[in-house]
Amino acid sequence: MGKYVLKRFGSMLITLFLIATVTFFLMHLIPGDPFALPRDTPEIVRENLEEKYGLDKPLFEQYTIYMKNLLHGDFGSSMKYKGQTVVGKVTTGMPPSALVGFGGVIIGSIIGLVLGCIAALNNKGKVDYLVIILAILGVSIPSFVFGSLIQKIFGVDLKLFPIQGWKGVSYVVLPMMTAAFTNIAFYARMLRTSMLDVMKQDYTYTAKSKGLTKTEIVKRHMLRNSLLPLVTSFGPMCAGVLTGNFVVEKIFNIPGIGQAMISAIQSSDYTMIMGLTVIFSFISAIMYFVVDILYGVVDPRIRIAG
Amino acid sequence: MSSEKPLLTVKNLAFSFQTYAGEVQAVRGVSFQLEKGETLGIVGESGCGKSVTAKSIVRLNPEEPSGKVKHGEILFDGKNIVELTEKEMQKIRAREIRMIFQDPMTSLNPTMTVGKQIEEGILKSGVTSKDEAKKIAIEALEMAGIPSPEERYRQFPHEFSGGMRQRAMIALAMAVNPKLLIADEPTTALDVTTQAQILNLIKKIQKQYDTAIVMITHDLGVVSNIADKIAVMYAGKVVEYGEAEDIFEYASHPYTWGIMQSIPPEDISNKEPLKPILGTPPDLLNPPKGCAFAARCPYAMKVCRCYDAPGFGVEGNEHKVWCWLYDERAKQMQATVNPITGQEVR
Repeated sequence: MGKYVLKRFGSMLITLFLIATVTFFLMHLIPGDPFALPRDTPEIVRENLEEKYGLDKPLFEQYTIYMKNLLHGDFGSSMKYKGQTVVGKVTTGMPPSALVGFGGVIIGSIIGLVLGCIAALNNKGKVDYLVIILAILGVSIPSFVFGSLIQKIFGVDLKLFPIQGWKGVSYVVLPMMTAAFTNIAFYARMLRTSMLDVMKQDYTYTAKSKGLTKTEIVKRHMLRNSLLPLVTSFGPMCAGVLTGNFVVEKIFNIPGIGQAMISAIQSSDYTMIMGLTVIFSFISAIMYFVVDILYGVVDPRIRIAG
Repeated sequence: MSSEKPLLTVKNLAFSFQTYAGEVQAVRGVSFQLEKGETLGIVGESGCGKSVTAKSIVRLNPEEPSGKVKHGEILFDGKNIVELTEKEMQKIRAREIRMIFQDPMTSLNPTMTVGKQIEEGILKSGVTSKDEAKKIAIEALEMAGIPSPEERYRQFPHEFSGGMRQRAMIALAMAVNPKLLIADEPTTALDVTTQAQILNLIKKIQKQYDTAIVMITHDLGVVSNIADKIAVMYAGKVVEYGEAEDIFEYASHPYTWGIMQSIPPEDISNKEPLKPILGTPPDLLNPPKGCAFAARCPYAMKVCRCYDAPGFGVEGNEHKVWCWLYDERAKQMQATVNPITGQEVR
């Protein structure tokens, strides 16, 4: 186990290095630079700025400087907003993103799993078709449509919740609902499919042949086995949560990390793009690692050896 | 026949599946009887309805609307299984009729220890204390010939080999000492040496507990080894039924002749080609009129394609065959030689 963790950690560092390198050069390929200055600004101002941020140096030298700083844990500060560090942006942007995202995943997965289970147990019944319709809607309606829709219903018409902003508990509800909607559909559909599959497995018949009741069979034998395929999707899902949901954040005007990333890219804020990319990759890698360990917990066949 | 009531009586059982294409008549009127401690072998090729017949006894077939008992009854210990509620059926499954399946690789839950799975069944059968159940489970594993049962108790199915898993399944089924064991091709998925071990184990356990067994197989070698009675099934019907010795010695139905002749000879050095039964079994969506085997039967007469044959008694004790060749009138028309006995059909 210790050896496995070490190996995983090693490959994670290599991945992060590659991602940082590729992002660095790709980013510089995009036309434009962080200093969108008025046309009549004297050339000297631009030169001074570039010198200050080291952009006058050859690209490869910039790269080595950046990597050296990165190794020391220095992600730098924004080239666009004075005094704004990358780490600072992450610490302020992460909590709202995580709150909306995790809320969405938790609420969505609970409702989704319950619906999926009910649907599978009533296969081809009325409830089943209802869940399928809901799942199709959830997958096919983009969150900006659903988000605007509930803004109109709950915000404008019913005036139950604020439409946008981030000033208190009531501001969380609508974005969380939007995030949950997609998850409900996803989990309901996944669990329904895998449960129908498990239902046809021999061990389900073995369980029945032992004289277990239907509830016992579902609880003790079917549920756990049906959840296995879902564990895989858990990693990207969590990583997605922590790196923010740009669309939802934009619609509801939440100062989250997803918005920060997009605006950094739009304004060629080099240090911000680099920093956020590396941090996002780090989070994703860790989440995948956690999922691998989780897999072993749920499925004894995959317990990691050595 | 003993004067006691038989343990299991299946009378004219028919079972159909509803599919998009229509009604598939998997079982079309099957009858047999089984006494305490006896073994019945149901033989037939894939799709002849033998598994469906066996599963009807424990009601493990798909429920309505996809599957349905069309008619007939299954009397077990005086109760008609077809009419029991699901709750009563759960009690019977828990204590009296247990089943083992074809593929030991998939018939155990991969995410639960083997011991827990056996214990779960024991707790359903009336044992209330967990420690007691664990003790019985370990004894069952030992009885099934699994070495170091206490250690195995805590292991997961993937840590068992195929043969060991089938032993674990047998332990799971026999731990509650059922009156009837249904074995659905228990050796098909195993290699030959393991097959023999598992069959011997089943025989040993049967002697020990006086359990009745319904053994489903397509392998005549398996039934010859274990069965007291044999029912040969074809296209959802029993075509020949009798005591095992009689069936082997005086095989009477042309289908039985066919399967016996298609067994590879022990001496394979003479390079004689195998004699398969030509043709394929009929489509049970639209079963043919008359005898279902007529289309593949070299002895088929006009009557075979129009009417179902009644059962005719032939040599042996309770030996019956459902074939028109044994009708008086057929004997006047053509002389048929039984290829197994070499004698003319009388």
